[in-house]
Amino acid sequence: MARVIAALAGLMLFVLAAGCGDATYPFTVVNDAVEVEYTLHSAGTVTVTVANSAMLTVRTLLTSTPQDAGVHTVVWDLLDDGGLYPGDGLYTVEVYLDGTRVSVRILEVDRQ
Amino acid sequence: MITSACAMALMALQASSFRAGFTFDCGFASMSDEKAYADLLAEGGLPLKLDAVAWTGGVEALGDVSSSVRLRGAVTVSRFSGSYEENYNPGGYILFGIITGGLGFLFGSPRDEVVTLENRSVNVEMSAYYKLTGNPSVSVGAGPMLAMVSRRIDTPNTSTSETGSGIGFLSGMRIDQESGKVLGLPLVFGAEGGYRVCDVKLDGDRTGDFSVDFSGPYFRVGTYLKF
Repeated sequence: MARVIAALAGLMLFVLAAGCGDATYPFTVVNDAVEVEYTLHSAGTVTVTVANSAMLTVRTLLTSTPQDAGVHTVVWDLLDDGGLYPGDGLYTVEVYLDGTRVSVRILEVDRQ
Repeated sequence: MITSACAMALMALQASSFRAGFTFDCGFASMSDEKAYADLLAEGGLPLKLDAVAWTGGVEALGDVSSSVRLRGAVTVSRFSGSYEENYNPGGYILFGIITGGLGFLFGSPRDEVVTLENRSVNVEMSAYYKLTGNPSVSVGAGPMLAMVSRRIDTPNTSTSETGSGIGFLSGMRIDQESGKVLGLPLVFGAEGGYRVCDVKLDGDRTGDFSVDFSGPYFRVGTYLKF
């Protein structure tokens, strides 16, 4: 009887350990400057913008900058174009290659 | 606007044939900006699932001010929501079920709502109808509405909310049929189909041109007591 109880307890602990890990959401939670990585499959002029949940561009990180194909990074310091903190919430970092959106990265900004 | 609605409601109350009741409608809301935002999030790997229709419930009063004119005043609340859910956390769900003595399995949700979005509109509506037939009464009409909208997005760690208000317009055809009595008062059933124009831009300098757009065809049913 004691072995059965021990086995059930062990099974329960295993299930809890397997299920109670950190959630993996399809967005990144950030509270400080964040480095965003993107891949270009061809060379061209790149524009990178950050928009809030109303799809309003609050920050332009790159404007029509020539870049080669490959992996690139850009840093957002969580400030808008006016140097102010735009508030907590969901933000999208959008990468445009020759005017066409090629990448969207979602950030949950939680600084306050 | 509200004063006019009150005036129309008073006229309806003083009408020879007055009825009041509850209504419920479903509308095929445009929500173009919300759908564009959902598409953007889906492109980023977050498939937000939006409602197919907007639901509206409310109270309304109708009064016949003459043999051919009917007035309507109503206060309604419309809702259009969306969410991104993930599969349940098995450990937490099992623990919750054990702690609640099994009730958690019966009534708990095995889904985890990660992102929720809700658009809401509180409307003050008034319409005037021209009656085409008697009982069942068929009438066509139109009128303005005042909409006070809000948009809220909740994520695991944040919550954002914006509001706005604007004027909309309703037009439709309705049919009312008196059928039976409740507490000695005649019971009336009504149905209406029409089109709602209600595109309200959110206030604030961080909302850009984003609007909450409940515009679209609607179908409404209602139950009324005739006084």
